[in-house]
Amino acid sequence: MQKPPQASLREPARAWIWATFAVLLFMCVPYGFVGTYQPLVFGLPLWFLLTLLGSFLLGGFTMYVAFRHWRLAAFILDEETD
Amino acid sequence: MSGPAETVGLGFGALVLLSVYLLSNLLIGFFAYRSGGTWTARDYFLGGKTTGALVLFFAMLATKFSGNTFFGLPGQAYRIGLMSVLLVPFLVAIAVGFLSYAPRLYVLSKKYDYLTPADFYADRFQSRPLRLIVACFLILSVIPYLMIQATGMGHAFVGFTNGQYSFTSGVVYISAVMLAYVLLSGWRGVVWAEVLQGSLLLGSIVIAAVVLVASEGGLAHVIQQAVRVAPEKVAVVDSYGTLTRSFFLYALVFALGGSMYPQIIQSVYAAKTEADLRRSVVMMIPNYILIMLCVVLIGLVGVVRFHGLGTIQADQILGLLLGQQAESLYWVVVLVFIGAAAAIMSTAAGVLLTLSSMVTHDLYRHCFRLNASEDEIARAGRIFTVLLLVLVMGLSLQPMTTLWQLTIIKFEFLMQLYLPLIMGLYWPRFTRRAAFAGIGVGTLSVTAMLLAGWKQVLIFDAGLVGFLLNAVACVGVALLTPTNAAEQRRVRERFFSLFDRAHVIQEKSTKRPCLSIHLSQ
Repeated sequence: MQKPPQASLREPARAWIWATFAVLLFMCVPYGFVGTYQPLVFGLPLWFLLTLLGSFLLGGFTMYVAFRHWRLAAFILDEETD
Repeated sequence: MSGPAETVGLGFGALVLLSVYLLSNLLIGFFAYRSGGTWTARDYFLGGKTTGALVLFFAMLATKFSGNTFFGLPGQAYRIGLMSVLLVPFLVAIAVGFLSYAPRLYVLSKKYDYLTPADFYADRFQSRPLRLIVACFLILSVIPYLMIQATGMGHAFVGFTNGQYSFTSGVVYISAVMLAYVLLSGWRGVVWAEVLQGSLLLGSIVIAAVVLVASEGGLAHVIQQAVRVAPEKVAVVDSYGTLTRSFFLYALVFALGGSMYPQIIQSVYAAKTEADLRRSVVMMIPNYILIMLCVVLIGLVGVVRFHGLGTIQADQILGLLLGQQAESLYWVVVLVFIGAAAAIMSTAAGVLLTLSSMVTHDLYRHCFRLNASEDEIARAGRIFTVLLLVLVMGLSLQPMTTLWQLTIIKFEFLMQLYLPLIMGLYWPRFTRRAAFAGIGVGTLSVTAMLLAGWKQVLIFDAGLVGFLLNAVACVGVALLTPTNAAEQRRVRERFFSLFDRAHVIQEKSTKRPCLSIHLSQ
């Protein structure tokens, strides 16, 4: 049997991860501002800023999952983990 | 200003720089060829599966962001205005879709030496017909993507030079150079060139957006002007149904369809290690966001400067905007012109190689030449590369629909392959019959809806309707039909026991410290 790697085995296939993705994606859609561009904050529509914020959170969470919840090959193939 | 009439051509200097850029690609191709290892199918199509994180990142960036980044997407941003900011989460959703299958698929591709996406389907479901169906499906779905690139080459020349160079000359000139380095050095040359192309793409789109927004007095000023000339393009759409259908659900279409590009799947196979693949995905996401924000800003400046452009003209909005300032910002315009050419070439080269690999490996080898040597397959791959490019160039010389529409139609078909892949990776009971049923039902329903002109059912577009029916067929057939004991045993031994064993190793390694503490006490 191969030597177990130091890091723990992790796969992104977990319910809480996919639920978080769905919530963050929902946050990106400006449901609270239908039919309007107001209010403006620093000259920019608030809905635009909130959608951007949602996108940054979605991107950040995706990076987190890729970096912290994906450790599989080292347990099956002859590969070093980091 | 209200029309595109005041644009000017770029002149001889731009052509010289473009030629220098094209020559650089040929040199990169030559050095990649000299580095060796391009004469077996595995090397020619996947670079021997030794691609590191940085090159893989550029390969994924340059393959994903194509001519569409300079034409179709700014055109879409022009048409829908500030709401196009939702393209940002759409693109991130592709990375999310990728994460759903890449970890397991990477392991299997290394273990069983997969070359094309259809290899997994054929191996998991032990079916040559399924290999052919998946391969034909991907080939037909990806040909429009290559056509988009060829069309983009034509648009680049027409838009940036104000008709000084013809659509056809753009297509032929860029295609010829691209073909040369693809034939010479295969995957290695393509991805090395993509490092240069991806850098040019990223730099030029950012500079274009910054220059255009700055020339209008900053983002807040652009939005103020847009509110004045076209308030409906700054406001959120006025219907919850449209918001859900065209934005929330489209993100799903992007996640499921965009992550199923065969060249994205092949990047999983080509990675040197899992860590390289993971790092390349992490590097991709901030760049997805940055590039899409630039696209949105370019479209918005277009809203301010041009009114009432038609759909084909809107796809040239970036060229029209920069063409207005070609005299004062000459070198910026030239850089963007070359960035657009780089984006088009990188995607086209990647897609061409992927297409060629599927035609050669899945169709030629598995239908006609089962015992062909690796050398013969690599030679055949080069011949198919030429034939495919000529075919696509011929098809793309007449612009047929907007670039955005081509993108969506492609996603709607690609997403029908997603469920059999995911269920094949995670559900041992999922059978060959269920995979056939899902793909068949999904594809036929999308085709029927498109042919009948039904754009949607309730709030669901054709692709999502097909996807839902696909899901019902997959799950229904897997649960309701009896399983074959031999098939189940083979699936568990070949696929799931790998992952089960990994969990056992993990459990043992985490229990060991507890045991030692117990003993020491």
